[in-house]
Amino acid sequence: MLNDLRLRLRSFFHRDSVGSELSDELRFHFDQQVQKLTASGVPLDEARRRARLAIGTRDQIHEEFRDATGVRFVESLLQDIRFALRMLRKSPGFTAVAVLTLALGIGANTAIFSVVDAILLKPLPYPDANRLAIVLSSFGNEHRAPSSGYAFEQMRQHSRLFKQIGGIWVTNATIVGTSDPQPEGIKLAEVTADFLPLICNRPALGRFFVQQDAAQRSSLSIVISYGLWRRKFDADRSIIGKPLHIGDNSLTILGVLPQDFRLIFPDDASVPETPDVYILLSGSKFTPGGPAFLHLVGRLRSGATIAQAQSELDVIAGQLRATVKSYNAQNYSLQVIPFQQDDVRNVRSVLVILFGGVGFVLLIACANVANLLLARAGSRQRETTVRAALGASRGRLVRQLLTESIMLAFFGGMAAVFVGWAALQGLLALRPQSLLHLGTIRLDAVALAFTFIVALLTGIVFGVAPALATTRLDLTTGLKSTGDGRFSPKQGSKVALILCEVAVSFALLTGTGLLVRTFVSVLHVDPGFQPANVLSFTTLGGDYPFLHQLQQNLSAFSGVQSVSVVSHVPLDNGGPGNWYEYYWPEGASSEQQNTAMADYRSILPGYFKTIGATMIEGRDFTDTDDASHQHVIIVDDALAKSAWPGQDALGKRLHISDSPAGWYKFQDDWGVVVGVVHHVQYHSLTVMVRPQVYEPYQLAPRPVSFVLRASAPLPSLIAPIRGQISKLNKTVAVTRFIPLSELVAEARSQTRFITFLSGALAGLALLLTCIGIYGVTSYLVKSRTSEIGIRMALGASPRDVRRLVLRSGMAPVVFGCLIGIALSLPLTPLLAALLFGVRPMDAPTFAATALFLCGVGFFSCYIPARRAMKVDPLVALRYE
Amino acid sequence: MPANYLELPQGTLDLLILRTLALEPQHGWAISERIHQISSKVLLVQQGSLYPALHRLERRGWIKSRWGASDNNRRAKYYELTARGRKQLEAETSAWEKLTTAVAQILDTAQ
Repeated sequence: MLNDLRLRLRSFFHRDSVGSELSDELRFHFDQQVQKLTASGVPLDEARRRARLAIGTRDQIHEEFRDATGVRFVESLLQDIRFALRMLRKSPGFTAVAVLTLALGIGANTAIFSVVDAILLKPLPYPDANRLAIVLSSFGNEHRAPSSGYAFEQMRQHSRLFKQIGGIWVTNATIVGTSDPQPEGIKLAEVTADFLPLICNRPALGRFFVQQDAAQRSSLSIVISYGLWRRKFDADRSIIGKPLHIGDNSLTILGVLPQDFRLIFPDDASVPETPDVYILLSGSKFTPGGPAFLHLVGRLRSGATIAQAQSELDVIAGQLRATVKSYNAQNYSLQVIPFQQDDVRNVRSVLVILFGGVGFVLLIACANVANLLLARAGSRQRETTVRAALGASRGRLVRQLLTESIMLAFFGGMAAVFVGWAALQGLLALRPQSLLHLGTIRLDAVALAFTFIVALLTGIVFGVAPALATTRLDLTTGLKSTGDGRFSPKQGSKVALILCEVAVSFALLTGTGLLVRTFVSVLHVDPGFQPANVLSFTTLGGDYPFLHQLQQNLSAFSGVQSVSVVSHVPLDNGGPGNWYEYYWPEGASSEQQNTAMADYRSILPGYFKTIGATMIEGRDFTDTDDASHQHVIIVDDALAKSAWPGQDALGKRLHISDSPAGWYKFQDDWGVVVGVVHHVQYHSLTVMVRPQVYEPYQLAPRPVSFVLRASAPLPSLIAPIRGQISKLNKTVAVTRFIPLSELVAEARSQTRFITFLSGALAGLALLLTCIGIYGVTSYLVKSRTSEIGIRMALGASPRDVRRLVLRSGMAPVVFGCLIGIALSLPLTPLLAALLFGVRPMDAPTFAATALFLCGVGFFSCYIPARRAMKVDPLVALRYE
Repeated sequence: MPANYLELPQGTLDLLILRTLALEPQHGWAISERIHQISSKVLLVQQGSLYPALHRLERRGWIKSRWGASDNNRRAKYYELTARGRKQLEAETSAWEKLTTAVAQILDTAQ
């Protein structure tokens, strides 16, 4: 209630005037009482005495008043804080170690939280992002396929729950320069009219497409990206209406996108972050049975749920199956998933595991600081006992000690902000491409708030046990200063804490061990080709004679061993969208048809030799394998085994899809197998997604990249290659000079990154645990000095003493490892998605971790043990 | 504490203060005097209970205070009922009457 609050605030901030008002009131009361008594005949002194008795202690009223308004609580809190600061300043060593430990623990959490927040928690940077959803088509065994234009049209017309649906398809194109002699290769996005308004509020300049543009065949207008606007037009504001030459066309610029706009699609959609040019899709592609190439995004109406949208799409899919024969055969269906959820589906488990990992590290840090506090509690015993003897309640004492802990945690939190910031910079510098495009990651206000909340909770967590332990005392033993040799509860809790630290470190180390083995497996995976010394580059705009001639010319270069061409470079994430289609062997039953899919690749002769793939049997293509001769294909061993198990694949016929009539003019066809080649990993190093079918370029002309094997250093070839291309054909653009070895390294980068992170966390945990073990063992030695003295006086050798200390120091380590095994067994299966080549319950890894941890623990105990050996029994026995 | 003075339970003191203030605004001493006199000197309110009670009532918004001049021209803090306080007084009075009637009935029948 406002009144209450007002009065409380007033009595806190105007303590003095409120106090004096109360005094005035009480004095008035006193005087009135005296007056009344003297009026009835009592002498003045007697009246004063009686009145004073009746009033009671003035101070007591003041106290109660302040208690009632809560001023007392705040005052005592401030007092506690001042005292805590003084205590911390008095023992700088302790404070420094504790603050540093906390900074490391909390800072790591801050860094990972920033990542989790940016990727998993913050909504995508689109208007009304929670209502955006992705629509995927499912054909046969492919469940995350793009949709056909016809299906898109049906959805747009018949869906009531989707307010808008848009589709996008990205391809390569060439800007023919006006001022630039070199043509520039760009990414061209063909979009439906609704796409841009769906995910962008308003253009920076001009306007977006509207539905009328689609009807009016105004496919000659484009929207360009901010980057292109600055690069090519110097941010000229009068750009609207001016032309841009792409390929053979002159296109009018309709609008410019905002600077911070980017596309954040799931990684398997091959949609780059910032296509340079957006053009309207022409409706001619929207016939039933047309290719499925559109990536769809829709916005749901407010109040519509995903489940409802899914039901609606099921109905539409049913209609499509009824009207389009091939859809029925392929068991076509549609799936709708919230956009952000789909974007992060690969990354989510990694991030959650990481978050758990840093949580563990923080627990270890807390245990260490709790141990420090317990060690310090011994020296505070006297003071605490005196306070208790003077009347402080246990709750009051615990509150004071907790205030100290929270202060410590607060300083740790402040230092943690810097640690977290530094850790984040390191993380961002190292992160692989696959995690690059999801959200801008930085330390913002939310991360700061998180840091301080964690600091507060941490302070309570590590402060409670020592506070309770310190105040659990009876007054007489506390005031006496002799300690006894028994294992006090304080020592027991320290050992228990070390036990927990070792167990948690064990879990983290085991996880790291498994990830390291995974990384080693990934390093040794055979990608199916030899990436060393092979360069790839993409040409935009040439036809077959050009490609053939360029291949000849480049082969003639000195230092070049082999040159060829392929539609999709292996492991290239920035390449064109994948081409995959059904295949079935001749004679397959109608159930077998339209079930299995393969990746189709269009190549020139010499491809396998260039990339170092292994030809198992048969022959490579030659220049005469074109559309006018027998249509031949090469398949990989996986396809051969699945289509013709136990038989020789050579000479067999396979039902394929090709396009000899021109780019993307697909038709059904039969191809004769003339060669079988070992499988090449195209999508990732660890997963085989589909088998492969290779077609000669003349049967399937499409945008291609060159691959070139050379003994000369690859960077030295770039300029000559450019020169050769522009000599042959000035309108052809060339981009993306990338060595294959770089692509392979990039494919390993996610595993490498995760392994590195895990190693860093485990290393931090191990360091903190070692410090903890060292500290506790030293403390045990010190508190058992008199016992050691007695043993030595009774005849124990220094070696015996050392063995004693080592045994008592290692006991928690060994038991901690056992508990760690029990802890890790249910946890390591959570890593299963990240592992490759090793099982989660891998016995050698567990054993190695146990040995390593015991070894490290032994080393940490050794120094205090050696110190114990040097104890002089006479000094020890005199030690009080 | 003299033996023939009764100890007042806390909730009842609030009720008595509100009732006393129902007639006119008064300062703290006058309130305790009035209660003492009207109860035929049975109820003696200690300062230790009175002032905390007054401040509690003020925090709850049932009475409000202002400084003014007393009859002998001294500065004193006067308290008066607010509209909410008046409503509270009615509510508490009826609750008290119900309670005492019920207790009296039981005491009667328990004989």
